[in-house]
Amino acid sequence: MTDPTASRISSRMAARLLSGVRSARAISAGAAFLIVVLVLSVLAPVILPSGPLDQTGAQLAAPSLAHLFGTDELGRDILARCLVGARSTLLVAVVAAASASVVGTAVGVVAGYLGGWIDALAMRVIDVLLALPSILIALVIVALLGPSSTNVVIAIAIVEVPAFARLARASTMSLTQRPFVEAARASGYGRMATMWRAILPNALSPVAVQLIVASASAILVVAALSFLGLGEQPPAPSLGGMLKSSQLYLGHAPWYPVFPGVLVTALVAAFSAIGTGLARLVSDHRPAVTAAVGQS
Amino acid sequence: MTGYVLRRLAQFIPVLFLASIAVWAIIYAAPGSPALAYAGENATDEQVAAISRQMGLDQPIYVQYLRWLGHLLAGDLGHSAISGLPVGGLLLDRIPATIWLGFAAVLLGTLIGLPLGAAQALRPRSATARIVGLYQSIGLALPTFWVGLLLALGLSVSLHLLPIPAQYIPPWSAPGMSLRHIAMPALTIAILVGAIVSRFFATALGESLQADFIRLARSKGAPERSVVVRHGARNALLPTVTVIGLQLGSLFGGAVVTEVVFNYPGMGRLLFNAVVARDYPLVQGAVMFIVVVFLVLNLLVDLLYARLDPRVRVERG
Repeated sequence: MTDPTASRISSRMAARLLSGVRSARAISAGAAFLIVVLVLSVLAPVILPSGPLDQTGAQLAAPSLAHLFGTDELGRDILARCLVGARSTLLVAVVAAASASVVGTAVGVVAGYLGGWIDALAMRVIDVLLALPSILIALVIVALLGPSSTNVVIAIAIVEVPAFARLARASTMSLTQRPFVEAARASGYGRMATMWRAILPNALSPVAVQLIVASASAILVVAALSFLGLGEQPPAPSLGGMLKSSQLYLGHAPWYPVFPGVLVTALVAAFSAIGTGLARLVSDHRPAVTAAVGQS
Repeated sequence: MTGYVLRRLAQFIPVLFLASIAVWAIIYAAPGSPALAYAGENATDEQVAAISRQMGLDQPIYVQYLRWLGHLLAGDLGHSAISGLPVGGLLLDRIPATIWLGFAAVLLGTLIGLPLGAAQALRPRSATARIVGLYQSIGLALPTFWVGLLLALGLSVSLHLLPIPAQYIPPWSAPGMSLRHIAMPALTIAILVGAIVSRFFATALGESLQADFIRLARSKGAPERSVVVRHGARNALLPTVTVIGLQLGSLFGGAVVTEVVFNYPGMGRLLFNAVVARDYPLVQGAVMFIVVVFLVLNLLVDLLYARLDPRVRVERG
């Protein structure tokens, strides 16, 4: 005779284990793809016969052994340009997300711990930032500062701050009630020390997950801005910029927009897979769909 | 309900106020003097001096802001630095096209999203659910402008089925033509909206089907169909409506990238062109307009939600 309770518990444990395995698989698949792209983009000058700016061969040539992804309107190798473009896109997106995580977490912890008017003001500013589609804010900021990669980093960092601030604020407010925080205060920690030593380390795991999710949405904004001509400036290759040029030659070179677009999608999907996997491991919950809202 | 409306309004007004300061500050962040940015690069010295007086640039900064706010509240958004036309009129011209695209895209996205979400929630382990899951992951990762390019490549350049650039034709004047022009831009956005809506609806329906009232309905012997539709889906629609409303709100502000791809004459392309031409009065006007539309729609969605679900009024306080 089997104990029904025991079998139910073990099946639930099996389900959790399975979900853990699946999360781990999603994380490693995403990470493996990113590593492959990074390694290829670093090795590109060694393994590819032509660089991203070399005008070799015919213009708008179809994919061939010499040029696996074909060539662009100036006869440059699309594969080489894709790899260099992917590297700069990743760099801009990750630096922007990381800057946003530092600023947003600081704002969230301070607002959540101190409360009062500081909290009210910070939250209203964040409501304003959340009140606009991210691409619009980024567009206006880049337009004011001038088109360049650095300004794209600044624009995207500003756009991504609210998500981090809200997360950090929510964790801080729940942590503030916990006994160990009270203990820290009772043992003579000042406000800064309490926030820095007792609260911050315990508020970091959702922030880490958000860092990955934010990188995914940052890639989409980087690509959109360079598609609009406001990102990395030519002749330097960018994935969005290549898609913009391809639009002029759709009739002659239908393969031109395929590879840069697949690469953007795959990079975003890789970050999302890691983010979703981590979120499941941390909390058993799927994160809300935030990445793509307002990027149209 | 009245209390909730008042609390929600009390939250809405400071946000609007802060947003107006941010939009006003755009002109001061512009390179060169604000009067020059307003007048445009081809203005004479007299014109710049006149605008400088009108803006009160010699006055304290808060006076300058209040002046600007006064004009704004009176409906005066200034004149384009490039064309010299009133900004308000330029914005009004784009509203019908923007609403038409936003409405078509969200309707199509909802029609894609709800059935797929329901299929995923009702048979979570089936092959269909897996395919829907794949669509959601890819749909959320796809850059919209790339989807637009591929649709243009397939349906317009190769098959000559649909026109590009997509023009705005009022749906009541020539319904067939109007639909042909809106189809590709709307589908481009709907692929993303459908992924978002289906994921939310699947999660909400899945949770709602686990609830006690579902078990009660089943134990009463209600037919499975009515349990799912009348009890499950109805409750799951609430959060989904919010998400759909938010999408609509952001689209009514203009779908910049999609409009640029298809050269569609909506609010997004107006703003993009103003940004590229450094037409600061138009940028300010367009951004302020988009902020107000988005905030008002958010407010309406929240109020609708509170009307439909009494718990919200208490919990969200």
